[in-house]
Amino acid sequence: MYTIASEDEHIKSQRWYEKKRQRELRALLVNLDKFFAALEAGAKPANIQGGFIHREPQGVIAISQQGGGKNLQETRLYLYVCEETQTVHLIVIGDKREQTRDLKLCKKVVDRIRSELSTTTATAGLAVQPEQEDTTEQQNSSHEKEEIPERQPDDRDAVGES
Amino acid sequence: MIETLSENPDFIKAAKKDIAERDLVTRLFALRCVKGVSQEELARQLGCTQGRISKLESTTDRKLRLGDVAEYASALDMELRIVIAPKSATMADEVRYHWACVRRSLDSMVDLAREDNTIAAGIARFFGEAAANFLNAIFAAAQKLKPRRPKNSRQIAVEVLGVEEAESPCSAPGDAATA
Repeated sequence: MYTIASEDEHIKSQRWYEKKRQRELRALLVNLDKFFAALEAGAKPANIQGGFIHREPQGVIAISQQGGGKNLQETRLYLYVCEETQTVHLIVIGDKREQTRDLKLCKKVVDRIRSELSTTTATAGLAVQPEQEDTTEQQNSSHEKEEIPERQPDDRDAVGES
Repeated sequence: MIETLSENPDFIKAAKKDIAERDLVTRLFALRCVKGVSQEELARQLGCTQGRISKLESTTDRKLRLGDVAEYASALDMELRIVIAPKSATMADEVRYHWACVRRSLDSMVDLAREDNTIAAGIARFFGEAAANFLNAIFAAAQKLKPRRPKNSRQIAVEVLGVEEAESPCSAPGDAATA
């Protein structure tokens, strides 16, 4: 049975969307519910495919607002499914403009999750290794979030923000 | 799920309504994913476009056509079964309904067993496994029942808890018989 874990950035961005873009957030949650229902029914994450699901690097999945109605802003909820711990990590919600920054954050979070997982399994004497491409990253990035500029949710509506 | 993500009761209510309006659609989507079938493959089997499948999976239950649901299920090697139940049906009624279905299936298996001894032996084995699983499931559910504390009295609560422990439905079958 899968459980949901929210990263701090997700909690912050969810609050902002709840206040400012509720329709988009509701559409995201409907699609998240579908994704979660498929997981709970026993579907493998790789087999969960639909118009609202986008595969990003490092196993990150972006769920969009698709199907939620007309005139909605392009919005993405980024998540990572850890099959070993049966946890769906909700990383952050963002729009198209913030995609690059959000994906960088996702990479850090996934690195951290995998690193924690490999530490746990190593302690337990299990021979599970993190994915090859991530090992060098883990050495450099560890857990710090300072490299990613702080999101300023209240500025999201500002015109001309790059 | 929504309650874990938001603390705003109005938002939770609205989001739950959105999700409830798509209960069947969500199940269909989950079914396709469990079978590992893509929208394109399903569309090919149904002789329609992938866009139509995508639209069907993003609509609300009220907008679904019964024929579309039946075809969708059939393409996934499933069949559509419909239950019409009174709105006032309780959860206990639901359990009774399922129990009636189980009894009908057990009777059908007994009829089948009359024709062949090998089948009869297999069905007998199955009955044994099913009985054990039923009992395990019921005991597991009973274990999750928490004894309730009466309001306003800690002293009474201790006494009542003691009594409840002796007569708990979670006790082993032997204990229950002696209680």
